[in-house]
Amino acid sequence: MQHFKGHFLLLLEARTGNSICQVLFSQHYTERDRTSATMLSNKEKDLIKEIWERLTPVAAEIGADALLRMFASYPGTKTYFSHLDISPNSSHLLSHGKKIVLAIAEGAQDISQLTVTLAPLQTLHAYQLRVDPRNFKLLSHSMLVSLACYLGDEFTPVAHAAMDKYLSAFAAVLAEKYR
Amino acid sequence: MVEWTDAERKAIIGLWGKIDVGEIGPQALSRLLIVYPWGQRYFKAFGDLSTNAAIMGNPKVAQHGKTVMGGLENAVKNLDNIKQTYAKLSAMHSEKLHVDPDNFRVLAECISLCVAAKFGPSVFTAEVQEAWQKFLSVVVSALGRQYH
Repeated sequence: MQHFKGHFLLLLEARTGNSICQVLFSQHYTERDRTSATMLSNKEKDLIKEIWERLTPVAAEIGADALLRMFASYPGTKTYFSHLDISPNSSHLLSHGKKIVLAIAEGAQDISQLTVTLAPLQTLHAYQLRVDPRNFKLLSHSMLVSLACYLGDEFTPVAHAAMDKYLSAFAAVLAEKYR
Repeated sequence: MVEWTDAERKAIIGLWGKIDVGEIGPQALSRLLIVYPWGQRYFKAFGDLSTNAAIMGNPKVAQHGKTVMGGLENAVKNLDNIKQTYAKLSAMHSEKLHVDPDNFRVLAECISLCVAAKFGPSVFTAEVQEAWQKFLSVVVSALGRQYH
C-alpha cells in the first residue's frame, strides 16, 4: 500500500469508498511506480536513495565539483552566475553546490513525490531564475561525471542507468512550471 | 577549423595515452546499450542483448566497442584534420548503417563517464574533461558531417 501514491487511488476512494479496490490497485502498482515520464523500478529507487544518502555529508564537495565541470565544459552556463564568485573552492561555489546536491538528495528520499517536493523550486526556476531548461541536461551530465569520479567501480551500468533516469525526471519536474 | 590550445592538446594526448582501448571501448558500448536500450536497434546481428549480463558478456559487443574506441586513435593523431579523417566513416554510418547521429553524442557521453570512473577526479579534472569532451564533440560532429 505504501508504494502506491498515484492519483488513481484518490479517485477510487472518492468514487467508491471501496477499500478492496484500493488494495487491488496497490498490488498492481507495487512493482513499478511511474515517475514523471520515466520508469524507475523499486530496486532502482532504493539504489538512488541509498547513494544520495551516502553522499549527503559531502554534498558541498560533490556539488561544487559538478558545477566546476559544467562551467569548464559549457561556458555558456556561467552566464547565470555572474553575481557569484565561482572560482574553484570559493565559498559561493561550495554553498551553491551543496544546495543543489541536497535538493537532489531530498527528492531521492521519495521519488514518487517529486512534484510535491520540488514545487517551491519549480516556482523559483520558472518565475525568478528562468534558467533555460536545456542547461539542466548539462548539469545532469556534469553531475554524472562527478558521481563516476567519486564512486569509481561502484558506478556500475545499473547505477548509471538509474541515476540518468532520476536526473532526467528531476529536470523534467523542475521545468514543469516554465510554460 | 578547430582551434586547440596547447593545454587542450596536452590533455587529450595525455589522457589517450592512459586509456586501454580494449577496456574502455567495451565498457562504453555496453553502457550505451544498457542505459539507452533503444540503441540496440542497430545490433540485431549481435545475438543475445536481452539482459545487462548478456550485454556485458557479449563478445560481439566487446569487439565492436574496441573497434570504435580504437578508431579514436586516428582522431588523436590528426587533431587538426578530424573532419577529413572521418569523412569516409561518416558516409558509411549514414548510407550503409543508417545510424541516427545522435547516438554518436550519446556514446561520447558514455565514453567520458567510463573514463571518469576509471581514472577518478585527480586525472579526469574539470580541465581535462573540457578538453576531452571538446575532442569527442569534434569527432561526433565529423561523423555526422556527411549525412544528407
